[in-house]
Amino acid sequence: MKRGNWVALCAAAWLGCGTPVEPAVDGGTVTDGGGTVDGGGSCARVLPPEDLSACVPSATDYQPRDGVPGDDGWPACISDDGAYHLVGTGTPAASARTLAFDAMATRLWDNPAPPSPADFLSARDDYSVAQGLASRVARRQDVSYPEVPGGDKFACQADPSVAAQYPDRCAGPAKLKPLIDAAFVAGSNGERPRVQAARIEAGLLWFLHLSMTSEVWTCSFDKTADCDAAAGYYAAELSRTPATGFGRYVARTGPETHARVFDALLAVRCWRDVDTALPATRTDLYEAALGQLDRASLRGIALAVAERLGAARCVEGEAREAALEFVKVLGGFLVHAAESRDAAAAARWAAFAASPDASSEAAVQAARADLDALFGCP
Amino acid sequence: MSAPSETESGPFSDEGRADSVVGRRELDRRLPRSAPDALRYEPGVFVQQSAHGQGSAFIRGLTGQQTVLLFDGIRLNNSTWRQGPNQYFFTLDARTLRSLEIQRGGASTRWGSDALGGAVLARPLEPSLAGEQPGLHAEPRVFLKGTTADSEYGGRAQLDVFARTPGGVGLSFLGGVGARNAGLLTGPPVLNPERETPAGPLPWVPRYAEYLPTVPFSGQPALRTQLGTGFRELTADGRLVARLPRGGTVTAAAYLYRQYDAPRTDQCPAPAAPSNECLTYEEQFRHLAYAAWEGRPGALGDTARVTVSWQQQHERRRLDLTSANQVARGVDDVDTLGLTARSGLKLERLALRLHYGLEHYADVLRSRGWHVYTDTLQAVQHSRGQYLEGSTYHSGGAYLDVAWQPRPGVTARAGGRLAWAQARAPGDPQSGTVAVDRAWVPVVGHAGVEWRPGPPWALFLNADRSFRAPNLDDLTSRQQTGPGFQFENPALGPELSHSVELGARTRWDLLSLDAWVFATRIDDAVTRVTRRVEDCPRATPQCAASWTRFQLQNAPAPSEVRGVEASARAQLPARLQGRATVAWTWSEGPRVGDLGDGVTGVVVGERVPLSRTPPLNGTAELGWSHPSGFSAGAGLQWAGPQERLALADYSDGRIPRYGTPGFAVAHLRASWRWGTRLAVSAVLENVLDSPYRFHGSSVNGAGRGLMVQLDAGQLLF
Repeated sequence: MKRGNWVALCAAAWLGCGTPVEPAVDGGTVTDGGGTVDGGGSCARVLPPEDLSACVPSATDYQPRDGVPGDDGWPACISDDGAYHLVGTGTPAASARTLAFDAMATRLWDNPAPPSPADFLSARDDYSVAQGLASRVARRQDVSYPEVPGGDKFACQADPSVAAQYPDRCAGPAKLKPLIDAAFVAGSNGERPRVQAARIEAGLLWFLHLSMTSEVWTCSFDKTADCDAAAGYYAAELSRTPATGFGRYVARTGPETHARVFDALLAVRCWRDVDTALPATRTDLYEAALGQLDRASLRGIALAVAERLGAARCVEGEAREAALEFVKVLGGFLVHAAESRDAAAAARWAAFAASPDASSEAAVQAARADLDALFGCP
Repeated sequence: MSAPSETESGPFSDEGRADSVVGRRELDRRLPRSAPDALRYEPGVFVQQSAHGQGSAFIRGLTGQQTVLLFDGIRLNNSTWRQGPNQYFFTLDARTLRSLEIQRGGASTRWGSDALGGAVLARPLEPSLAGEQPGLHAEPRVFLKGTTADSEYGGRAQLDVFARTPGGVGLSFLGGVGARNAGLLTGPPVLNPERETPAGPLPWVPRYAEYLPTVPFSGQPALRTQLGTGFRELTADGRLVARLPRGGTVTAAAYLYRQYDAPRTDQCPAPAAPSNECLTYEEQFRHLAYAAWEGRPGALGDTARVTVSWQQQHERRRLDLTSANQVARGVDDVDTLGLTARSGLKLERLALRLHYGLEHYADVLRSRGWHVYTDTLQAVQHSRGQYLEGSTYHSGGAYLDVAWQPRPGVTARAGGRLAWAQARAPGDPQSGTVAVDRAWVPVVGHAGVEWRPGPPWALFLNADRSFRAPNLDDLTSRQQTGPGFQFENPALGPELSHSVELGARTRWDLLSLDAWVFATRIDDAVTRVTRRVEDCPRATPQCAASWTRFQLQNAPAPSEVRGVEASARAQLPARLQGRATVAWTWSEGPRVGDLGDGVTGVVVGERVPLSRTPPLNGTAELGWSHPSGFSAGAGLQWAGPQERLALADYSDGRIPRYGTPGFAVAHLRASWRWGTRLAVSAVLENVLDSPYRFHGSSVNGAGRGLMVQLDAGQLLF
């Protein structure tokens, strides 16, 4: 739940108004092959410390860190000790995919040098391993859209025409796969490698977000161990102190948001502890946990976009182009969620994300304010 | 006292045991699609198919590397035969077979490693022409065959030649070339026993061409065309037999089998994979060439046979990973050199018959893998293939079998084998593969007694100890299997089986009956065990990413297989003939590992069934023939439901959720033979268009359809 003054508080925090900003990469000028990295004082590559004191959790949120177990309205459950306990028998395969994402990061977007065609090939091998990231991107559904009609829960991968017909629901095969494939091809050809790396990074971050909610969905009717996968797609360690994957991004940019994501994952696990039936019977807990996770995870995505937007101010040339491409891709995916929250802010954000502009501080501040208005509280 | 006589099936057959033979005549009447398909009417045999273009015979509940397959006495099993069903039996061209003998139960004394469940002895067609007149005599023959259920068409041209040389050597030759093309297999869908699954009532495999993903199941069109089926096949063979003037024969033979573009149905696509992802065996070749001498070795025996053989098994796989715009390929070649020597000796005074022999086979393995991105055409070589390049495997042994008839009606049999096996494979540090250098010297044997209390009865009591040494597949392979990713276990030990069987056989003029009960205990059974991500070998991200992961492991406690098999053959009035079989198998082993994560609502105990154990099943056949050359008949195949599953079976897409439904399927047959020059055979298969699936198979049985064969030329039978 958001309080009335929340937007202003957060906007101020994100914009870094008067707040000391961590220095840009290397604290000065760095050559990156595409231009000059300007470490001048007008850019805010790293977001200021997160302050969510004005945010009020939803009444249905599971809050294992606060108070006595059961006080939050959730029944006592396995998650009350604050740790994630596996549903299945071992580390979920999703953790391996998260580690593959990190391996790709080392070769591509975290690479201090512009990635070479060989880097793209190696990263693609990480991506394409059997049963790996590519296999799941090609089947990933965005559960915020209505299901494909017919009752086949796996229709998106049953036939390519289904994905074409229902691109929003079948976001993996219809949107992410073409984006990532094209970036690999261009990167392998040496075309603006930082930009291609940014596209892949943004596409996969959105995939990881979608995977978390999608796995919670399949956990409700297919395999209860898919709840572990939801946690594995967030961070391979399934712990509150992640060093990998999407969790690494969120923990760095918004520690409290990260804590709320982890709370939400514990909510998912709590629901599956209370309700072991397949299909699930406690739809109230399912919806509460899914909503909590979706909200927190979306803020994590928004933080990544906001951070990159600030970083775009700090660099020039291809590096800036890459940062803006990241904002364009990942920010574009946020539009659908934004529309259900604040139509006006969503429209402004959509227009910005379609053609992100970091040429002026004012433009960046305005965009960040809209993001904050939309995804301020986890 | 008199020495026991040879059986009809040949001088080197294993006698006094549960067995049955399918002859050429039955094959022509039933029109099997393949060599494994030819065994479907044999008691105690249950044929599983992971693809339309492959088949694996379960004998007494075991299959693949736990049974042994021989062609003209030469082992076809090599060191890459994997755990569970495999496709290699399919690489025998059924058109070149004279007979298939199925020996049920442990048979390692005679046939060496792998013969835990039994042995299949395939015998090739022999040249039919012979004579004393000089000159050249030749008889051509042509077969044409077509089926509607899988749009198969093909044929074979065969030439039978005889010539006698001036030196008195009779040369007989039988050769042929064949080809066929099989399309997508059609048949009504088998449904999950548990209909309310996330994917609906349909099992994961096969997928259907008619399926409409956005239409509820109740509104689906007729689902019949099974994706991931069809194949092409090319065969050629030549068999030259020289009958030496002073007795004995020398045979030189070569058999070529080439199968192309045979998708593995359960991986085409794999469960939950996009519909355009597919694992295809682009090339599945088997080449066998050998030379054999058969004759009297003097004091060493009454008859002997020495064979030198070379066999090459070639496999080229293609995995279309459209989700990654990638094609992954693997090529494995196994060259096997073999030497076998067998002899038989009858000692009338001692009422003894001895069989003895030795053999040695040496495998040399080549294996590589790579993948290519279809959009950038970048290729990446893998540091290792499915196996390790340069691996070698040696196996063999020496045996002695003795049959003693102390008095009429009683025959005692016993035998033993000293066997050896050695596996060597280089390590591959890049993939975290350790080198293998293992050797085993097992000793096995058997004993039994046959008692004929009086015509027509015969009773048998046999005990057997057989073994299977781990092969290179067990010790070194990494592969995506039906239920998940399987990685190697270089520490595996041999499997040992101890069996007891009790049989009764009676032969009246109009009725013959066979009934057997058996119990087998397998120590250190090699079992597929679920593993955790943390257990995956280094540098195998596909292992960690898979839904389920497996490793072969010797079971810590004994496994058991028990069963009953019976068959009856009757000569009925009005030229009618009837035959029926029934088999029941029960299995159990220690529970090792856990159920896969996707399995729900299942409670398992400390002991669980072995994988893909066949359900109660049987057959019935009725035939009628007229002297005019016309004959007609009907066949019935049936199986009960199988819901006793191994842990790995629950996550195996080939098995409906959770268990395979029972079925009964009927076929009608007719044939007309015009003299010795022309025969037409037809089968109306699956008359009632019943949905059915042999337990553990990826494909449903063919729907109602017609099979027709035309046979023109000099008919041999």
